[in-house]
Amino acid sequence: MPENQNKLENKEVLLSVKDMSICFGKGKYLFKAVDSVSFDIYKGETFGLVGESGSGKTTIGRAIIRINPTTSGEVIFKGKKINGKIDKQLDRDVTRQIQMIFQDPMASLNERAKVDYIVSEGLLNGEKLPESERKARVEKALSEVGLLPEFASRFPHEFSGGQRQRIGIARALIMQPEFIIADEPISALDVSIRAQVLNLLAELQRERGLTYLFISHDLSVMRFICDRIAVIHKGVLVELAETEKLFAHPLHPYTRALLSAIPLPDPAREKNKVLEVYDPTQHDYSTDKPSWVEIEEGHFVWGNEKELSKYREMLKA
Amino acid sequence: MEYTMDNPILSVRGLNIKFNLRGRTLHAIRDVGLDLYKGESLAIVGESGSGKSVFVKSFMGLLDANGWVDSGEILYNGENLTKFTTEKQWLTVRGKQIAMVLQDPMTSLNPLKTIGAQIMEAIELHQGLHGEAARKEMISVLVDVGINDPERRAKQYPHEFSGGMRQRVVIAIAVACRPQILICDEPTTALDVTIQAQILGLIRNLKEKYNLTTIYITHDLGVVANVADRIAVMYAGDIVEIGLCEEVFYQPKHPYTWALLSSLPQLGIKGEPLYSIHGTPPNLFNEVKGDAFAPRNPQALKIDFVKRPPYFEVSPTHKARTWLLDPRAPKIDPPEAVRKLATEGVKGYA
Ligand SMILES: Nc1ncnc2c1ncn2[C@@H]1O[C@H](COP(=O)(O)OP(=O)(O)O)[C@@H](O)[C@H]1O
Ligand SMILES: Nc1ncnc2c1ncn2[C@@H]1O[C@H](COP(=O)(O)OP(=O)(O)O)[C@@H](O)[C@H]1O
Ligand SMILES: [Mg+2]
Ligand SMILES: [Mg+2]
Repeated sequence: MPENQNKLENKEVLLSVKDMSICFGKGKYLFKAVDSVSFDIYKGETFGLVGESGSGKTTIGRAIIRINPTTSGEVIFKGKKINGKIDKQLDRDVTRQIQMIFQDPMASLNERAKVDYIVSEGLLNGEKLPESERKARVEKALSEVGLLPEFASRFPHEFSGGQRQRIGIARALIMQPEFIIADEPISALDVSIRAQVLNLLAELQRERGLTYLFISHDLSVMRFICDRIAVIHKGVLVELAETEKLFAHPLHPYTRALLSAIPLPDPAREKNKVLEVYDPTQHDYSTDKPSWVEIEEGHFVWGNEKELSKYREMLKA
Repeated sequence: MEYTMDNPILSVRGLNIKFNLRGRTLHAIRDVGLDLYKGESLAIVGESGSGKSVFVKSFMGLLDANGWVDSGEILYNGENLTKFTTEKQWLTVRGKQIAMVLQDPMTSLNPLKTIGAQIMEAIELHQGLHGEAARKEMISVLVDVGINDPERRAKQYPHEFSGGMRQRVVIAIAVACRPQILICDEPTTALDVTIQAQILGLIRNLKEKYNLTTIYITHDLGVVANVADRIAVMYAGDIVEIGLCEEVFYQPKHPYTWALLSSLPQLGIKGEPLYSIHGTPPNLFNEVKGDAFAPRNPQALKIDFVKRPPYFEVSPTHKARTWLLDPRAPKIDPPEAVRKLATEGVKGYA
């Protein structure tokens, strides 16, 4: 993959998450949804975050766009800390530059608002635009996602799932963001429509140098579009590597279980596959404590000394 | 269990199903036939709205009130199920002979009853066991579906189970009825891949143990490759292609099957656009003319827009409804990605 290689060589960190933890509730009900995660996202790449439902993926995305407060750690965007208390101007900048698109296009769009309002809602919080300018921007955003300008006067329920997801993308694009968090953007769509949305996201990235955090539980899709993939299990990042590296040399047993479980659309392979089952009790972290270690260039894994030396052996083999 | 293709357990002939919606008629199943063979695992694949659920619901008398079988036969055990008029008649089949597992387990479970009680009910009703014998059977079914600590779990309520465990309970209830046919309608769509893989394995084991014939509905071709002996591809209320699993994956003939396979990300080339199907399926409120997929097929023939193709036989086990198989048709090769699937397969992991 020469293109991919290129992207990662001139790497410039756009977003950096350092030791971030996020808790919900308090006292007896305190629950750590995200536990000391660290990762960098490079400018122009598609960074994948994969894990089972409830593992903390959305919580991480929402913390980056400042909806969820962080409990500890830092989120650094273009060199500036953006979590916790920040000044008004930076807040406004970040609100524009980082956009999020959601899984269920129906639930995430305001049912009673027209597409025109939905798409330009983000602009209302910034400086006031003349009405003609706002309308022009809506039309432009709609056309960029392949929708007709006259759709602006319609309501979300008049559209198909794929079209609604395009409306969600237009709503993000109109802000001219640099970084888009796509949270399961195609999970609710049919196979044939998925390809259209994936192609649209890829095209927008090429044209505008967008950076994506692509959240999903579908590793087949991620293998196709992500430059690098991070695997999360119950709030803990367990592994992170370039996509093909991860598929070729998965180290953590959870990653291995996840990869072995992907259904392959190829009966010869699928009917003979060997499932690996992950048993979390296999880790003995009572004395030998785990940490997040770069075990080879660009390949991170969560493990204690004993496990890491085993992983090093696996890489040599 | 081995199956042979001369012993249909269920036969559908010329089935047409319609719905009435605000005075308009939607033609959901359009003249569909199917032989289901004893002991096989048939997968039905197609995008949403293609008629998969409506088709199988009609085998159990579960069509919504605004829908009806307009014509055709569903033959099971020498009886034509479409002639049933009362719930009492349907209850001789539903659950007892043909059981169903749905995508959302909560729709099949009673939130106010313990799962043990719910499985017991099925056992008492369908196996005629009572008291301690029924209870023992209930525990053994729970073990069969892989629920640990069954004595304790039996006393719990559905909300105390995770999504994957709930689906196991629903499967336990289904097999407790000792059905001949088990229909699974997207049972793993809402589950994580690791759980999905376990449920697929479970269904396979139960199929062996209880000599079940299974119909597995999904839109995920990976799941299809895992479960299917045979595959039926549905599009716009019709089975457009049916064949052995290997035939449909490696020698597909219908342009819609080609399109479905081509849009798989596993067959895409990184950095290049993924094949995508343009447009949307036809509106089934209108009469479909010709090959329903023609308007979305860039290589459609003239006749595709005029006349509905019949089935052409590819092999004794494989047939497709496409004019491309007519001897007079021009030769059109399957797309590159589809040929690649047959020759190289997809990449797995190390
Ligand atoms: N606002 C909240 N209050 C309490 N718990 C929450 C909240 N948001 C998420 N959680 C919990 O945090 C965990 C991670 O959730 P989420 O990030 O949505 O997972 P994912 O997106 O990976 O499915 C889950 O256990 C979820 O129930
Ligand atoms: N109760 C109903 N009233 C009207 N139309 C219905 C009803 N149930 C299903 N349909 C229509 O029948 C077609 C097939 O639906 P369904 O079998 O649920 O599709 P699938 O299971 O393949 O996603 C769709 O066009 C759907 O809208
Ligand atoms: Mg989520
Ligand atoms: Mg359905």
